[in-house]
Amino acid sequence: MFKDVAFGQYYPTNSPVHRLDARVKLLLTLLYVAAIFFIKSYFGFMLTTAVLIIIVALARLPIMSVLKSVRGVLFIVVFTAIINLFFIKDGEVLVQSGSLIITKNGVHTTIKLVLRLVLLISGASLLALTTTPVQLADGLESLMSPLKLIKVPVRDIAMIMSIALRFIPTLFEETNKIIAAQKARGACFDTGNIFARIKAMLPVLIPLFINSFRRADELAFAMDARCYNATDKRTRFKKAKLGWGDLIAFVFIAGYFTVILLDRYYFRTVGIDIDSMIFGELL
Amino acid sequence: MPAVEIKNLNFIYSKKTPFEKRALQDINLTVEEGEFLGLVGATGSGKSTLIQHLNGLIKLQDKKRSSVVVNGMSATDKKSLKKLRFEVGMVFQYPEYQLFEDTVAKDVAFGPKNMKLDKDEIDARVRRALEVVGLEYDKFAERSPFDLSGGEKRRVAIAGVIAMQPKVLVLDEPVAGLDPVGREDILSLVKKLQKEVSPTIIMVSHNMDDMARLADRIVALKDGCIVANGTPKEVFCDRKLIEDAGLDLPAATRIADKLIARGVEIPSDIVTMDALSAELGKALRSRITVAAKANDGVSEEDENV
Ligand SMILES: Nc1ncnc2c1ncn2[C@@H]1O[C@H](COP(=O)(O)OP(=O)(O)OP(=O)(O)O)[C@@H](O)[C@H]1O
Ligand SMILES: [Mg+2]
Repeated sequence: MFKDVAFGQYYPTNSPVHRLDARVKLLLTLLYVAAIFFIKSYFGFMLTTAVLIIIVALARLPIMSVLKSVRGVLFIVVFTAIINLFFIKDGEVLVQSGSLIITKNGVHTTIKLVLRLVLLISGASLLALTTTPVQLADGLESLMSPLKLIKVPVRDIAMIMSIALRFIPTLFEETNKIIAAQKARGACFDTGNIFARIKAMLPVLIPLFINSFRRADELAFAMDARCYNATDKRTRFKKAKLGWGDLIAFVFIAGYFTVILLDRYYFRTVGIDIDSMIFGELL
Repeated sequence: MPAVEIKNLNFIYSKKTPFEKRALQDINLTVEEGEFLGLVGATGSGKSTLIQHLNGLIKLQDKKRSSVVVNGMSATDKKSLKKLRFEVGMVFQYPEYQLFEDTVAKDVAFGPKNMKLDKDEIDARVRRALEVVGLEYDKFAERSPFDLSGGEKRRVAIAGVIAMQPKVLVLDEPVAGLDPVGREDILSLVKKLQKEVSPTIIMVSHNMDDMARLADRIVALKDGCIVANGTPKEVFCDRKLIEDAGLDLPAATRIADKLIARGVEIPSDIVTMDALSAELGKALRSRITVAAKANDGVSEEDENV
């Protein structure tokens, strides 16, 4: 089992979120990402965080698994935060020493930027955590199928994607095996300068390539032998069906999206400012 | 001093994730110098994981409690790791998929080169390794390893390990995917290697006939635990254990069991074909003598009448 998912971060718990249709999850993730770019107020960020926590809880994921993906981009987040903090110069000055100026506006922008990035990454990682790569590929194929009208070879692309996904763990495993075998003969991969290291990888790369070509040949024969062709008449073994869960998920995220839009374009025009209602003087 | 000494070895793959998998559990194992140890067990029982500890390819997870020592060298010691790798030759499953050089001689020289031997010594070792595995140096040295037959490729790969002249040779299913003649060839090669190069052999195999014939001692793994450890006779005579561990009996033992069930008088601890034929010969001869005696009795009676 571990082999199916060695690639990606899929975290199996068989929760209602995992069972959602991959297409629905893909679309809702897009909607969520779009929503994040409409957020302007702290209330919006709080709401998004709440939504995220609800989904994580429903998916029965440990919060660490989500934060792990944030850790991967922590450097970028910190970097952009620092740039923002020091380079925004308009608004009320909070701290000034020499040419370093930190303004109130800069602080707000920075906090919002960090929140935006963290929520974005966490949301996207939820998709990867609850959907297997193969489900994702199938979902993408289905979503892309209208492109067939303009002669995009969607089936071929999808087949290429599924095969690639299928063989990434295999290649990974094979690489490890070959590395082990060459290490057993005294090969050393982590000493010397960059050229020495690249050269040291040859005993791994050459067999890896040769084996991959052999495997590709065998796979092509096997597919041929079973009369594979990428015509439209092919049917699916596993047909994805929309269920009630998908509808509920859709309503939930669409509702969230609506509130974010209202928060941005409507509430303030009618004199409701939730941020100052919550934080008052703090802002 | 034993060649290999493993104490309290535990290993868990993907620790602390939902894919956590306990592959080894409290393994204690000693292999004496000059011994031929057969390692058996159903697929997934942890054999490959166990042997990769022997040359430090897999790091110990609990250094305080467990230890792996080969010829007096600890597998956790970073400084002697390289030396350990040359001391323990490891032939993986399908070793031919790891060939990479453009000539056979260069590929076999990869290990000795990493040992930083001088050129003459490397050449001598390559020559000898190829001869030992039964490939004529002059005929094969300059050929591409990728143009050889499966069995020849495997010999080249084994030669690549032998060229390091390891004291302990570990083989993970060395005959997988070969035809009967190729299998026999490789097996007798392994026996020969034990005499000429590496006195201590640890071999993983799913074939109980080979194990019964070759191994001095058999260790059986099940779900990461050692469930049997003894001579082939001791291990294979415990039918219940063999079944529990998901293993086969050697063909000779199965035939012997059937014969015994039909009333042939042979011992029940037969594990090799040689022993079976010897015992059958004996049983047959004693039957003939009994029959002859009975016949004599009959003919005497006839005469009396
Ligand atoms: N890289 C890995 N990551 C996670 N689990 C692994 C890994 N390698 C092996 N395992 C698991 O550990 C257990 C022991 O595997 P191992 O390869 O040692 O078995 P084996 O006895 O050599 O089997 P076989 O006879 O099929 O070669 C198996 O259940 C396997 O699924
Ligand atoms: Mg194995």
